[in-house]
Amino acid sequence: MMRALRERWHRFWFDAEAPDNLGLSRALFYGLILLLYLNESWSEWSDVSVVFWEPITMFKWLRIPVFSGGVLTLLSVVWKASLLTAALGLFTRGSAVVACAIGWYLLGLPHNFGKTHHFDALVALVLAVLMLARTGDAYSLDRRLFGRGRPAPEPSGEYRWPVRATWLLMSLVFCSAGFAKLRNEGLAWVFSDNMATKLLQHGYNVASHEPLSDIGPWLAQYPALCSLLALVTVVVEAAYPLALVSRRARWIFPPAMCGLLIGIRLFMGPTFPQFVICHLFWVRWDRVAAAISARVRPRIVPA
Amino acid sequence: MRGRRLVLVNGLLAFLIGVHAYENAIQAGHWPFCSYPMYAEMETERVVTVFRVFGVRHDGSEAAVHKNEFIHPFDQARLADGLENAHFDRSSGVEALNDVLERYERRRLEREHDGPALVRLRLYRLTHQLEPLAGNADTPEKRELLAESDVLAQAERLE
Repeated sequence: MMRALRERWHRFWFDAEAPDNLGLSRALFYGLILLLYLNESWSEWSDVSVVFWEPITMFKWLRIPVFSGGVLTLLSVVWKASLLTAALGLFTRGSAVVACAIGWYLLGLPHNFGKTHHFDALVALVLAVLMLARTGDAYSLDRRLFGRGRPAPEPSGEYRWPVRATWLLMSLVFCSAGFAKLRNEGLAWVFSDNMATKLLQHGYNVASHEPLSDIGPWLAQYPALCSLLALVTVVVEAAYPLALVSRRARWIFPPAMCGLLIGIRLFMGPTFPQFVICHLFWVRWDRVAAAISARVRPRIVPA
Repeated sequence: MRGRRLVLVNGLLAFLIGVHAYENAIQAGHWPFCSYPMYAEMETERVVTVFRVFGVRHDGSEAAVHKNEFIHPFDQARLADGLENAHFDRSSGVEALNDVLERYERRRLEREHDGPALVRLRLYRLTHQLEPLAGNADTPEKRELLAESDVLAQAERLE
């Protein structure tokens, strides 16, 4: 029994795979994170008064300071450059290490002032996973520039576990959210006025961002519809880990979760583009690339 | 994959699962490891209370300045929580408002936003009875002044 379980565990994480899917996922992830944060500036945090300073554990334990505006600007530039080089697969390992180290600092910094949001925690963890992975063995400038003449990398578990680790992280995050609702309030979270009240409250701009639409307060007029929405939310969150082990579930829960995240932005206000970007790891990009190239190739064959 | 590498990766996976289980058990968050409550608390009261910043113009009239473009690098929720904590936990509401006002005016003069010129900020606790379609979002039932910044020094009031 234990042996069978161990073998299943090993197969799930470490079955040999070609490096293509991981390489493409790397390029897309770093590229999209770069685009998301391209206009973001952290230098203003250097002159926020200490009366707002409530350090999160990482900053408190490691006694990490708020650097001056100049240093924060420099870190921001280096971080964005490292995201770009990691996306291109240039000096991939070094770029991933820099992207992770500076990313943890810059992404964590605002959470020391007033409130700890959760929307970017997943990005920090995925950066750490990718830092430890061999992501530059395909679809990278490293391979083009420094890998000439060398044989193509053999399929390996090295190219499978990082993608699955991001699946695991997403499952832990969303299952935690569903579990918290059921543990705190039980089914009353679904079968009460809770969701209708929440949607209506967000019409009063109580969140980090204003809702993109007036649909939330409108929807709140229909309690049965709101309870249905609450039920879908809890089911999608709590059952999200099924996508780890079931191919069919992979077609349901990750897309449904993206829909919920977009719904939150539309109806309530808070933004979760980071979570949506992380969902790219559910797509087999190597198969997408193969399908595209199969379509394109016949067209470029001379008549 | 080599044995040592397998041990490292398995250790990482066990660590990730263990830390998230721990965070859920203690219902806490140690960013980037969190328990992700994400609206888990029940909301059934037909009342909403918000902490909101208003600016005072030169003529004494008030203007809402809670939008993110005016309070950068904060967002609405972060600033509301930060001011609430500074006011109630550390009795530093005035100092916190002074800080927000100075940055607001500096950024306005640098044309980073197009808000009105202000001489001081006020922190209110607003209470709304929930109404259909949030029709009373701009007219709270109760408006309680919690703190007021100092008047911006003349030298800083550059037009």
